[in-house]
Amino acid sequence: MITIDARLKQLGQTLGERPAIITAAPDGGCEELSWAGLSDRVLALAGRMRAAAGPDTVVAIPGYRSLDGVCQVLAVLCAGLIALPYEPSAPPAELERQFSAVRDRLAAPVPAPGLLGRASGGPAADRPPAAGQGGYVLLTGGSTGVPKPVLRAGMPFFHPDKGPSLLLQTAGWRLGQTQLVVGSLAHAAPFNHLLEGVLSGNTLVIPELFLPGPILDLIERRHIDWIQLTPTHMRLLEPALAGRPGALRRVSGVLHTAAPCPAGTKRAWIEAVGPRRLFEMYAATEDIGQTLCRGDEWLAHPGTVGRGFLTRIRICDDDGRLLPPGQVGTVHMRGLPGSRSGPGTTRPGRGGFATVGDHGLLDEDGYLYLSGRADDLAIVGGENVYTEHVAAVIMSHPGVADAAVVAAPDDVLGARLIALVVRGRLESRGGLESRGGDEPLTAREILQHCRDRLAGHQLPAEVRLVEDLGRLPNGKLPREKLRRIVAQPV
Amino acid sequence: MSSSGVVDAIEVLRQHPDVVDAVLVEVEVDGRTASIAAVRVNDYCSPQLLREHVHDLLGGTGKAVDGVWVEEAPDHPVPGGGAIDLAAIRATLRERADEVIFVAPRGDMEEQLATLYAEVLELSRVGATDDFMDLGGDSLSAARLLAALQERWAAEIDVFDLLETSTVRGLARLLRERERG
Repeated sequence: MITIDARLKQLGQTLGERPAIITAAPDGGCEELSWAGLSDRVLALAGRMRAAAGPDTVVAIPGYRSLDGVCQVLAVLCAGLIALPYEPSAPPAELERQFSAVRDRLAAPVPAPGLLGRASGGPAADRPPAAGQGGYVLLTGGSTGVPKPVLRAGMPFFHPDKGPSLLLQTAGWRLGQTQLVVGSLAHAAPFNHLLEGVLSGNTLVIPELFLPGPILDLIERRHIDWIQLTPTHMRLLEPALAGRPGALRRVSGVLHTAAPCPAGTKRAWIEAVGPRRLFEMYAATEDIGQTLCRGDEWLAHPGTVGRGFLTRIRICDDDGRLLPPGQVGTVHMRGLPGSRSGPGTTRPGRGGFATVGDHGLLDEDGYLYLSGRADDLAIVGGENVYTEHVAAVIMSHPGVADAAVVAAPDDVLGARLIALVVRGRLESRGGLESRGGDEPLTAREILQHCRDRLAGHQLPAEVRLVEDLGRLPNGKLPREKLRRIVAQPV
Repeated sequence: MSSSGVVDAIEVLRQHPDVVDAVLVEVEVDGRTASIAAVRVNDYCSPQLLREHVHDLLGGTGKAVDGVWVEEAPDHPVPGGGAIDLAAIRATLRERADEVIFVAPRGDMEEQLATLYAEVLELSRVGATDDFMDLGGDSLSAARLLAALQERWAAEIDVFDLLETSTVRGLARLLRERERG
């Protein structure tokens, strides 16, 4: 077992001038850093960071898609500190919500700029960190809509006997491959694949923006071997792909995460990449288990997310009783240990099985089909959004009496959010001085209120003003009824 | 088997940090009496690993207990948990004791596979019907096992095969089937 700092040093020596990181600007301009360069820069910065912060400090680090950005994230990991990568484009209110969850459950995160300032020009620590130190924290929505930190304790490491994870090996990953990195570096899948790519000595190609035409150019020009995508990326690339059927011929593996993917898009990709080279995986950030599905399996079992990969799956009813194949219930998984889990992990219950509350069924052959996520979870453009949280933000507006947010199917984003809002009586809006008079609150104002407080993917695509939400006597929303209302055109 | 050996096994289990209580149950399995320790645990525990824990601590002196049964978590836990329901456990064990009892490997292939399992799982021994997951298998031991199967038996066993068969006996059967083509 070689920890990431030792592995970087090793790769710097053995791979030398081979490119480690290539960032690509929208105009086609590229910046490149060799393995020797990456190793020197990251380890020097890590040594100074380590001298400037106590062990196990949680460092909030922006996931900039630049050479500097990647070096800084890796330096936090190599310093034996705990990296908390965050999306730099998220609005301050959303970041505060995330940081405060980490503060409550783990430790107060230290902002990277302060630490980098203290570290710059300072002395380097004289000893390397111990393997058990450090790690990283990723945030997941959890069932309550409150961000839940999931800690992977201990410095990331490479196992020379084993190589990268078995799942990646099965999904076409080869050591030293050229790998395209898209998606926010603050999210589990892109972050983990970036990390595995560094440990594998891959060349990582990181486009600054996701623009379909330039991305396909990059895949061809840089001879990309391996790509991880979300279904939204696939949908956005589909039209460009139709005009260039050979663009992905050289690619040895495309792995996409499981979120509702339109069947047409899935088939187009299986066609473009090849049925034995397109893979889908389903896993939760909590790491309770995973599935894998190859293109040819999907063609034989359309709509599946695959079979458990080193994971056993059970479907249970609300009372925990086992359900037979074909019946929808809560998905319980038992994966192999080895995930280094910390606070915030879902503890296994009976027989080692655990659930994150997703619903689905197994067919007779053991293939899993997801029928929907835990009640209020929507996946917009591959990102988890808890509709309850968006509704709560809308309800924080003094002019709003009640609100519900419902996800409607969307061809491109997978889901789009529709807010149903009941306006309050005008007297209750005394605080709104900017709006003179008694004009009723508008949908536009509600949207503006959301824009100031939510990230782009959390914003309602539409705000509808309604008289009443028809809440049940226990205060719960009649979700099915609301979905039907939302399905009707205005 | 001496009765004092069995008492030792119960003591060893009671001292285990995850075990709340342990009692001895005797059941008929395949026409002979098997001694099984029924345990209540704090958190999820593998019965096979608890059995091996006892086996190792008692110096491998034999069948101090034939198996360990971990009580299922109740639907509605009561404070203190009440006594272990021996009648219910006896009834369950009549059906399912073979899941937790140590079954010695039979024949060359099972013996070689059991040795291989023990090696990758870093255990002193592995029974023929023990499940890979229950034995604490992780992705590293799975990778080692698959690599060794490929090397020694030239067998294309993948991770799905491993989890579906999962035991030494099941894997031996699969390897024989593949050999026959």
